[in-house]
Amino acid sequence: MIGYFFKSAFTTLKYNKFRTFLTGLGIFVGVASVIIIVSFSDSFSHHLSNKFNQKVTLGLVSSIGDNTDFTEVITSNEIQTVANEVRKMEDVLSFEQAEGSKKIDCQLSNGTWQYNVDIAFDDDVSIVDGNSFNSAIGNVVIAYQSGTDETSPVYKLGDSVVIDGIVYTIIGTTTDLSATIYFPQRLSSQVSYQEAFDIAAFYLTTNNKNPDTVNIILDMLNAELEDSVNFVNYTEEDSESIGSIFSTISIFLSLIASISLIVSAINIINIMYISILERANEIAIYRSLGMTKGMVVYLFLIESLLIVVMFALMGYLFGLLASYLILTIMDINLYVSINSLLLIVTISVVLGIGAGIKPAMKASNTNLSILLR
Amino acid sequence: MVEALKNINLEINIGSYCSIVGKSGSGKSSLLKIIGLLDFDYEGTYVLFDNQLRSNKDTVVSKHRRKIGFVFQDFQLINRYTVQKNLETASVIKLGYVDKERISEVLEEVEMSSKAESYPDELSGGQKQRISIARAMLAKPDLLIADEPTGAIDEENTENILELIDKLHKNTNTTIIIVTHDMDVAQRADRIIELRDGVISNDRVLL
Repeated sequence: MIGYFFKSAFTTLKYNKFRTFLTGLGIFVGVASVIIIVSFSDSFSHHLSNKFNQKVTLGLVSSIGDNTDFTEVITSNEIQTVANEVRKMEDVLSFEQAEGSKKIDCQLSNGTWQYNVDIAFDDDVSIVDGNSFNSAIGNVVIAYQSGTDETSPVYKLGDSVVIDGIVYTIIGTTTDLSATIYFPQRLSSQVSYQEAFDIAAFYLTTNNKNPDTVNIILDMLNAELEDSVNFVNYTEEDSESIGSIFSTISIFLSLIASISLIVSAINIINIMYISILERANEIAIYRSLGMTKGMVVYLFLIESLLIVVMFALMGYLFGLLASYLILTIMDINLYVSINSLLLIVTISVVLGIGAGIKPAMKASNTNLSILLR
Repeated sequence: MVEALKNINLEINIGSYCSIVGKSGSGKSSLLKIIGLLDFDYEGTYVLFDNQLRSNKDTVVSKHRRKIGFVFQDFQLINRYTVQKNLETASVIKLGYVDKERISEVLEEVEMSSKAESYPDELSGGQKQRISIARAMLAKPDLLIADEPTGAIDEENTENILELIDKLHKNTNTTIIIVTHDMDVAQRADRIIELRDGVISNDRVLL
C-alpha cells in the first residue's frame, strides 16, 4: 500500500509539473549554492594544505638558555648531515639560520642606564624626528623612540650613548623596532658586538610531500641532539589555521545560502496549503472510501518529501558539477567530504517533513460533507 | 446551529432497498451524511451493523466506511486519474492492494471495460455514474448509499443506472439506500421514507 501511495504522490507531482518545478526550484538553488560553497571551501583548504605539505617548514627552537649561543648547540652542518642520511630528504631545498639579534652593552650619557640592546647597521632608517644618516659624520646613531615602558631607556635627540668607551650621539629617532639602536654601515667595523640568541630558529624546507619524512627527520635530530632542541612544525600550524579560517568563512556563507532554503520551505508550506484547498474534494473522496486521517497525512507528507528530496539531490549534483567545472578551470582538484551529502540529505528530510506536516494535518481534517450537494 | 433533523427514529433492515424522498431542505442529505458516516454532528445514537459509531476512533470509522459504497450525484471521480486508476485507488484504500481482477469484473458489470484508460472528463454523465457505481461495488459493500444518482444525467441514462442498482440489489442482496426527489426513482425501492422539514412524514413498505 505504501508503495502505491509513493507512486500516487509521484503521479500528482508529475500532473502539476510546472508547479512542482517552481516549488522545487528554491530547494534546488539553495542546495546547489550550499554545496558550491562547501565544496569550494573544502577543495581550497585541501589544495592549500597540499601546497603546504609540499614545502615543509620546520622551526627548530633552542631550549637551552638565554645566554647560550645557539649555534654552539646545533649547527647547520649537523642538520644537513642528518637530513642527508634520510634518503627521502635528498631534496632538501634550503636550510637557513633564522635571523637573531646582535647585542652590545650600552650606557646612556647620564650613566643611569646600562643595557643589552639590539643593534643594526642600516643606512636607510625611517626617522620620525631629527636627521637621517645621509650627511651625518662622526659617531652618530639613530635610536628607537621608546614608548612609556619604564624598564626601557628613553632616548632623546642629542643624548649620548657610550659603547666600549666610545661616545655616540643620537641624531634621530625611529619607530621601527627591528633594533633599538641603528648605526650607519660605515661604523660596522668599529662597533664590537656579540650574537645573542634568546630564541633561535632554523627553517628546514623540503619539497617532499610526505609528512612522515618530516617526522623521521625530527626523530633523527632529536636522537642526535639528545632532546636538547624543541621542534615546532610551522607547516602543520599554518595549514591548520588556514583550514579553520576557510571553514569559518564557509559556515558563514552557507548560512546565507540556507536563507534560500528557509524561503523555499515557506514556499512549500504555502503551495501545500493551496494544493489542499484545491484538492479538498479529492481528499474527501479518499476519506469516504475509507482512508484514515493518518494515511492522508502520510500521503501529503510523501508529496512534500518527494519534491524536497528530488530537487535537493538535483541541486546537490548540479552544485558538484558546477564546482568541478570551475575548480578544473582554476586547476584545483574537487574535494568534497561525505559529510556534505549527509548534510544535504538531513536538511532535505527535515525541510520536507517540517514544511509538509502542518498542511498535511489540515488535509486530514477536510470536511466530508462537501461530497454531497 | 440549524436543526436539520428532528426526532428521527429509523431502522433499516439488512438486505433492504430503501429510498428516502423529500423536497430540498427536507433534511434528506443530512440524514444520508449520518448514515454514511460522513457527519458526526448530531445528538442521539446511530447503530450500523451492530456497532454504535459516534465516539469511535477515526481508524474504526474508516474501517466501517470501507464497507460502504457511495454513489454521488456529482460522481466524485478524481479527474486527473484514468478510470482504471480511480478504481485502483479505491481498491488500495478499501482492500489494501490493487485487485486488478475485481476491477475488470466490476467494469464489465457496468459495461465500461472499453473506457478503462479514459479520463472522467472524456466520459458522459451516464458513463461517469457507471464508473462511480463500479467503484462502489468494488469491495462488495454491505451498504450502498446513492445520493440522487440520476440527478445529473439525462433520462436515457437514468434507466440504465437504476437498472444497475436494481441488479446489484438482486444479485448480492446488498442493503441499498437511495436518496431522491424523483418519485419514479423512489418507486423502485421496497420501502419509501418521506422526509418533510426534518421529520419523517411518511414511511411505507411497497409490495
